[in-house]
Amino acid sequence: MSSQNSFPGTDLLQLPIIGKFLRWQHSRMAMQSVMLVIAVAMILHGLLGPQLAPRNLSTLFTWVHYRGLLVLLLLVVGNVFCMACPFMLPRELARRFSAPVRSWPRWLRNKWLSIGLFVLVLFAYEYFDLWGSPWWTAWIIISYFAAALLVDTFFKKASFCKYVCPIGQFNFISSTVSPFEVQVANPDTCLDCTTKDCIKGIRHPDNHDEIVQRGCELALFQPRKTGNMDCTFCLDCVHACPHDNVAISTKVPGSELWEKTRRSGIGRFTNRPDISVLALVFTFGALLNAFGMVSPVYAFQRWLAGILNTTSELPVLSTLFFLMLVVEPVILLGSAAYATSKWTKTGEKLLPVIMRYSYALVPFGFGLWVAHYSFHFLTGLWTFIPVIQSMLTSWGIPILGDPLWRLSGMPPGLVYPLEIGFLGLGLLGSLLAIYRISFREYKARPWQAFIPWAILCLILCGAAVWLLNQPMEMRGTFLGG
Amino acid sequence: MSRCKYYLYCVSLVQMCIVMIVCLAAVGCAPSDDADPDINLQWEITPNPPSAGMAQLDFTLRDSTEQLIKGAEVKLEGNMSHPGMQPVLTTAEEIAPGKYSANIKFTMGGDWFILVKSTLADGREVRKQIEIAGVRSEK
Repeated sequence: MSSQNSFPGTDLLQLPIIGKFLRWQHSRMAMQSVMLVIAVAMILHGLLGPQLAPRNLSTLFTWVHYRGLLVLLLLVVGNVFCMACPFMLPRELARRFSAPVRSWPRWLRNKWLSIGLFVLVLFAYEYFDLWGSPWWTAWIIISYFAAALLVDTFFKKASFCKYVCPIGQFNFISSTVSPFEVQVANPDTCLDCTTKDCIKGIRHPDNHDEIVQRGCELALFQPRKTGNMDCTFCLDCVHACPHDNVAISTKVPGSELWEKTRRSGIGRFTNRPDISVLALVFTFGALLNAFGMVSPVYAFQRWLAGILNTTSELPVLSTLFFLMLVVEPVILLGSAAYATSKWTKTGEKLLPVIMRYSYALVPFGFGLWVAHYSFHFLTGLWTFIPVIQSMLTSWGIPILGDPLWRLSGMPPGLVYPLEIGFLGLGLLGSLLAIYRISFREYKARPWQAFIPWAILCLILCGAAVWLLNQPMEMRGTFLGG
Repeated sequence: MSRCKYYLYCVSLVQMCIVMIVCLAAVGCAPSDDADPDINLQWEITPNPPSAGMAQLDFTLRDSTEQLIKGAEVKLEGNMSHPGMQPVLTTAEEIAPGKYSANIKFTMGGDWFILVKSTLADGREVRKQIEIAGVRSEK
């Protein structure tokens, strides 16, 4: 039955130990269970433990280790955190008692809601200084569990993952530059397939209402699936395919960003303004999130506060978000699109040009997210050890000894070249995507189309390098303490 | 499952969530960092406002009768409000009876807090926390 030998790339499912584990029917639940235990420990410590962020598992794991590991695994493997997502476990349990009967409302079948939530998370992070509050961090985790449970208890399929979850959208858009993808091993095998189990699932032969194995709940039909967008790596398609024809195989990172094909469950990228905006919020959000951690942001906020004649952080931060997520992209993208339209003499409207190239900015944005989060992760790599020692001691199980508070991670000076390397990789990826889009769409004058967007990328990259060279100043009071 | 049963199920699910949230909120109100209320710590920092780099922290320890506490062994641990940063550890010297001083290096700008652990002459351990918000990254 196996047909995977015809696939030329590396297939994770064929590797000796990893492959066997991933093919195991309960591999996802096993990973989710481990993550659930960690999440419960984080919640308990966040609510009941010391309210000091560096000494609490909820803040430390959420804002240092989880985010760092998330982006690094997206960079070297793919969307493995959605694969091991613990928020799905309670809904799995609930669905054993009652299957949802409603479909997600048609008018919400897009990314607008999740984009709004993504911006809200970024805003709340800065406004409530979430990195410094174990209590609120624990509540965010609880809210996530509750939201996933409620949405998926009422609505069929993976509505929460596809249309609501802001972390999921971050992972989806990031995984477009990941090196692995769940894809058909041999397309010819699918031509003869009549059952389409990868999308429909497998039902019990005697009881047609009983689903023995789910198909893709995110409406990604394997033979027509392109890239990682909307794929949670749940491996339902792997388990459902009766021909053993689904692989987790290598791809050219970022290649899906310049492909114009119609994607199953998504459509064409160029026809999806919501995903285009997601890509832009992702990219400019990376700059905003990094800007919020360096010294000049406070001088800028004080200046804004003076202009607005206020001492309240809410209007100042709202203005900063508006400037960086709306005004800045409109000016920069509008200028690049105008130049493209003029120089290529196509006279195109600006919006379709912006939508076309917005995806090309994703590698740069991802590079900056990786640079930022890997800094915190690598410089604070071992800080979880004394926190766990302290937590166990306070719970009356001092089996790991006294907390070693001196433990930290790599020196910042060593991490800096890595950060620049991640940024450089991102810039290269974006330039490549711009090049491919320009030569596909503007055959008569490809370089005239390429140059404005390349300049835009270089400007953004210059801004990112400047940010990484600024002294860090992590504080919650924008007017100073 | 009938429609009525389905709604009952949904309602009980929401109720369960609310109960869980209320219980957790009640339990979660517990954490408090107000340790050793009978010991009073007064402090000042130089320069004020502090910047990244060296700073001098002077403080006094007094008991509930406002008497200066002499001969304490005082250790300080500076932490940033952001998790994942290496703490700065130092020891304070008693420069006059009941008055202590320590040099502490703020490795970067931002919000800091300093945990002061004092072992009093009678062997009692006292823990206090000093909040130092807005350490400037520039001089």
